[in-house]
Amino acid sequence: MKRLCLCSSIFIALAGCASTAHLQTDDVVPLAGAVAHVSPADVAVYSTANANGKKYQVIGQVIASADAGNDAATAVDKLKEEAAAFGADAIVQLRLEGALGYWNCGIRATATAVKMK
Amino acid sequence: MKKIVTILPILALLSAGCAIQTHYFQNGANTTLTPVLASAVKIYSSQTPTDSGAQVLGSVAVDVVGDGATALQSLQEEAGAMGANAVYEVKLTKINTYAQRTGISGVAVRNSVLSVLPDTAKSHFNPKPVTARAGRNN
Repeated sequence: MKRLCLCSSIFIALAGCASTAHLQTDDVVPLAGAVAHVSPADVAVYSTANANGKKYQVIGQVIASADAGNDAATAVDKLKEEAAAFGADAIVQLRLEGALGYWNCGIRATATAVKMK
Repeated sequence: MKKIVTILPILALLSAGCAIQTHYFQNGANTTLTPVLASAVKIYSSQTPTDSGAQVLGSVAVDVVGDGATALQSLQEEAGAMGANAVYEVKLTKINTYAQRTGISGVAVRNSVLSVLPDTAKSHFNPKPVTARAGRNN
C-alpha cells in the first residue's frame, strides 16, 4: 500500500511536468526604465511575424515544454507566463511541436516575445 | 527486478507511441469557420501571405508514429478541422524513440481567394505546394 501511494505521488508529480526558458536577444536596445509587466492572461498570441499588422519591438525568445497530451493551451499558457515575466505583452511566430513527455505526450511551444508599440 | 524489466519497456513504448494532433488559435482568429476536407488542405513551405485574402487562424502541429505521409494526413485533418484550407511555413521534426515518429508544424490559414481559383491560376499567387510524400522519412 505504501509503495502504491509512493508510485502514485511520483506519477502525479511527473505528470504535471513543464519547463520554460527565455533568451534576451540583441535585436533592440533594452527598454529604458521600469517595464510594466502584464498579466500572462493578457499576453496576445500571434502565429506569424506579421501579428495582424501590429508594430512591435522584439525582446527575445521564449520556450515552454509541457506534458500536455493534445492540449496546446497547456504549453501556450506556460509560454505566456514566461513571456509576461520577461516583460513582453505579446508573442509572435508561435510554433507548436511534438515532444516527449514523462508520462504523457509532450508539446513544445516556442515564440518570439515582443512589446507592442 | 523482474517487475522493473517488465514495466520499463511498457512505459518507454507508451511514451514513444503517443500521437499528437494539436492547434492554438491566435488572437482575433475566427474560431467558427466551417471545417475543410483534409484532402483540400494545401501545404506550403513559404512564408504566410499577408494579403487580406489570407486569414491567419493559428498554429498547428502533429507528431505521429509513422512516416511523412502519415504526418501530412494528420496535419491536414487537424488544420481542416480548424477551418483552414492551407498550412504555411511548415517544418518537419523527428524524435528518436522506439517508434519512428514524424512531426509537422506550421501556420493554419484560410485562403478566401485562392480556394475558389483553379490550380493553374493559384500558381500565380503562391509557390508550388510541398510534395511531402516524396521524401524519405524513416
